[in-house]
Amino acid sequence: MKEIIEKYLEGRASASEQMQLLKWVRKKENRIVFNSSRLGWNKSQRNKPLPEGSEKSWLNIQDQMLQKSFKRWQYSDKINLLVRIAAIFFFVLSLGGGAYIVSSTKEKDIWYSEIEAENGQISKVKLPDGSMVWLNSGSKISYNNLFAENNRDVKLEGEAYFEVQTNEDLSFVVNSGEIQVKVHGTKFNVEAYPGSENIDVVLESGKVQLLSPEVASFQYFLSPGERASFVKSNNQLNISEVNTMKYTSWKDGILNIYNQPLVEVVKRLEKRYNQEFEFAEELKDYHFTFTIKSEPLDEIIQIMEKIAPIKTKQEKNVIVFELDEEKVRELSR
Amino acid sequence: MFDIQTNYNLKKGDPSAFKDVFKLLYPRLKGYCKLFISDDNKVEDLIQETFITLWEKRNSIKTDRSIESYLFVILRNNCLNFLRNEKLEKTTFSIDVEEVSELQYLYQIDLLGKEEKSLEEQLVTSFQEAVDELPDKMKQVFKRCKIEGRKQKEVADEMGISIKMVEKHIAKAKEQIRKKLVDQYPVLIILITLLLEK
Repeated sequence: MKEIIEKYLEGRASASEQMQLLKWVRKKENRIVFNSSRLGWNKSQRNKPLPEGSEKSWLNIQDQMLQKSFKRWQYSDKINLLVRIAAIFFFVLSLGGGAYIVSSTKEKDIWYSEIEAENGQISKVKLPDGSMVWLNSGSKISYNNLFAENNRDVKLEGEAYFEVQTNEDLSFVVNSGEIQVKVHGTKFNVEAYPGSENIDVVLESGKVQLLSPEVASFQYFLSPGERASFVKSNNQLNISEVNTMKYTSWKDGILNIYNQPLVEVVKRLEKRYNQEFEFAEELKDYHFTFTIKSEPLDEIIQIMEKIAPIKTKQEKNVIVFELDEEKVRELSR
Repeated sequence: MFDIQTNYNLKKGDPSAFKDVFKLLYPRLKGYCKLFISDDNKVEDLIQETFITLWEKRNSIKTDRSIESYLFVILRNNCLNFLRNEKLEKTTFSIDVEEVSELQYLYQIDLLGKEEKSLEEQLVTSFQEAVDELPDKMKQVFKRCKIEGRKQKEVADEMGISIKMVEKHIAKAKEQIRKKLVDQYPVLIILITLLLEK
């Protein structure tokens, strides 16, 4: 399907391939895959020339743009036009972002591989031992070249969902700063974004052991359906029973926001959509509950504007949330 | 979806952002157009027209809204206008629902984010509306000759008017329909602008 999507985006897909793609993309759950492939394709085109056969059209468009601005010049400020013409002839390619980057750094005879999901992306990775990792936006994991040989250690910054292959001889260890998660074979989620107050581990099935690299005596065995939340500031571990779906559904492109303050909502949206936000101080205690599947950002913002008396404005490339005085007045009436 | 930066740069009038948009969307817009129009030159014209409109209207771009859907709606209207005019020039035509090219929904999902009415349905509806708005006598002549495909002489006899009068009615009707359809175009542009500005 990836190949067909690419062909379609490049305008090379045959009618039957397009039909196949239509049937596939009509299924809601495939949209997110389609959207992310499209994003990846956009980025891959960064330094490529114009698509085949479009050069003439592009020249014609420039011609017409020039003619139109020339006409306007005859009626308006001449210096202004010089800038306009200069602008028309001045082309620099720029397109931000990137899919995921795999890089290696050498350290004696040990190599580290690093996998990163940029903001706006969710990456699914198969590790050398066959374990699967879903990396949430803005997260990275690294492991060394001896992974699956004499260790199964990964270092995580951010959030990831793991489906670990069973191997009784070699335990799988997730290092995320203050907390280590040691497992044999199981499914679980770790959220440990740098700068965040907590490290959260949610166990879906199997058994995991929580350890601390600093305090040797600390250990806790987590049961399925439990969520361990380690508070970095006071080294406290809180255990609660949760609906694990709520914490793991992001891997399928679903973002659950459940009674969260705008501060947290914004953090998640920033990661998911790679878009910077700001908000007025008075809004920080507004709480939101909604679920995002494959909706584009503008739809989400519209929904947020509907469920709370807020409005958005655009300042350069930042979206700013403000209190909508009018709606507040309506509500208090 | 383009990143907000591209939208913002485009709104500012940055030609490199415009070129990026062109580069990434040209193949798909062309693919969509070709579903309805077989003449390659015409397809190129319509696409160029669409991008020029985007450039001209860039001030009304909302940076957090999708440029794809903006471009797509403009292109769809351009196609619609072209097809109507082409239809009008034929000796006779039907205003029943035509065969719908299913693939257009792929482009709608991709560029609009959802499935909407097909172009064919829109074409038929707008035609019916334009024909319905003709003055009574003109409408009858136009319907009998152009849609039912009957002979001018026959219609003239039936209605008790001269053939010259029938020809005159048809010419006038065509002019009026065309004018209405052309008038509709700027209205649609305003609609899109409003839509994009919420």
